Amino acid sequence: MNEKISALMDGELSPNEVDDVSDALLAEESLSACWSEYHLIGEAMRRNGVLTLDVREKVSARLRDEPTVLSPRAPLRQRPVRRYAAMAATVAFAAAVGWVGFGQDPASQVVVAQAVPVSQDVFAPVSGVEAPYLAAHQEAAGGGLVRVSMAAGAKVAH
Amino acid sequence: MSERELDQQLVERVQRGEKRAFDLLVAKYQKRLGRLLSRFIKDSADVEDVTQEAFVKAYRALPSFRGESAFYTWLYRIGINTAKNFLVANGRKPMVHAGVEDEDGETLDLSSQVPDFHTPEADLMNQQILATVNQAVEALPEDLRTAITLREMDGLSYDEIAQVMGCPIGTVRSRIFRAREAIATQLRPLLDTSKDKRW
Repeated sequence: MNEKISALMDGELSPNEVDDVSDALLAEESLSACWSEYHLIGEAMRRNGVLTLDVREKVSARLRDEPTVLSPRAPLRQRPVRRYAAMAATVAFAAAVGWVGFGQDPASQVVVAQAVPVSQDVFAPVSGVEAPYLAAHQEAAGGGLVRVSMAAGAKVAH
Repeated sequence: MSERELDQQLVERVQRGEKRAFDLLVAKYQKRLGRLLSRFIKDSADVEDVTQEAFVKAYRALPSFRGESAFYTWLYRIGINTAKNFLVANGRKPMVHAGVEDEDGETLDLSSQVPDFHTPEADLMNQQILATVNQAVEALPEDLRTAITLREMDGLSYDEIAQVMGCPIGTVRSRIFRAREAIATQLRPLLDTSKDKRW
């Protein structure tokens, strides 16, 4: 296990080993001591650090009284495979609908809906309490309103 | 998995409620953070207190850490702010300020003077650790010494060391581990961390 700790601190363990070694490090005091010693050796060789400083016990004691920190998990990113599967399903559905539509005899196609110009009375000023609201709404909607209605005699396509 | 990714993984374990994972980050960074803070604060006892306080603050702030920067960069910033607050609270001015680049190449505003950590006892212990490690490295067989030196001093990856030494990566991993164990064996009596009595 100590050899794996050595490789872990060098960033040379495979991702599937990292969890196991980290678990062992957290579970066994002797292994976490080994982790500290190996780091100390590196700092000493590089002469980079106050080698005598050791606050682990004091920090650990203070953290015992601290509430455990818990962060909400970040939303999992949608995996590319799933995203592509969803896109493929959409494309397949659209293709199926198109194929069914093209398969019909053109003569049997019926108009489901048709646009009918709206008469001017639709835009007549509205009186009553809701007038300001409706006026504002009409203003925001613009003048290009088209009423869509079922044409007389229209059949629903099968 | 890089060192930064490993730190991030430990951070995420702390964020999921595993306090012990924070101990590993403390063990990893305390001496480097202490060295940084000793550039601000001369007294060794104060450096120790501020280092401890910085780690506690970092722990409390961990829920907001999202990994946009490296953990150590984030930790060093907390350490510097803690040191500045300490100096202000004690009516002292930080020593000479200078821009110092951290390991990400970002400039940290800190004092660059007085990098020492002087008490006679701490100084003696520091010298003893350095001497022991140096002697242990010198005493290593050449293949182990080369591997550990390329790793710790030059920062080469195992793959790069394998190319330099003309051996498989598995051999490099084994040599570095054996070198560390050999040095640690010399160091443990000094630290009083023999296998049955460790820190």
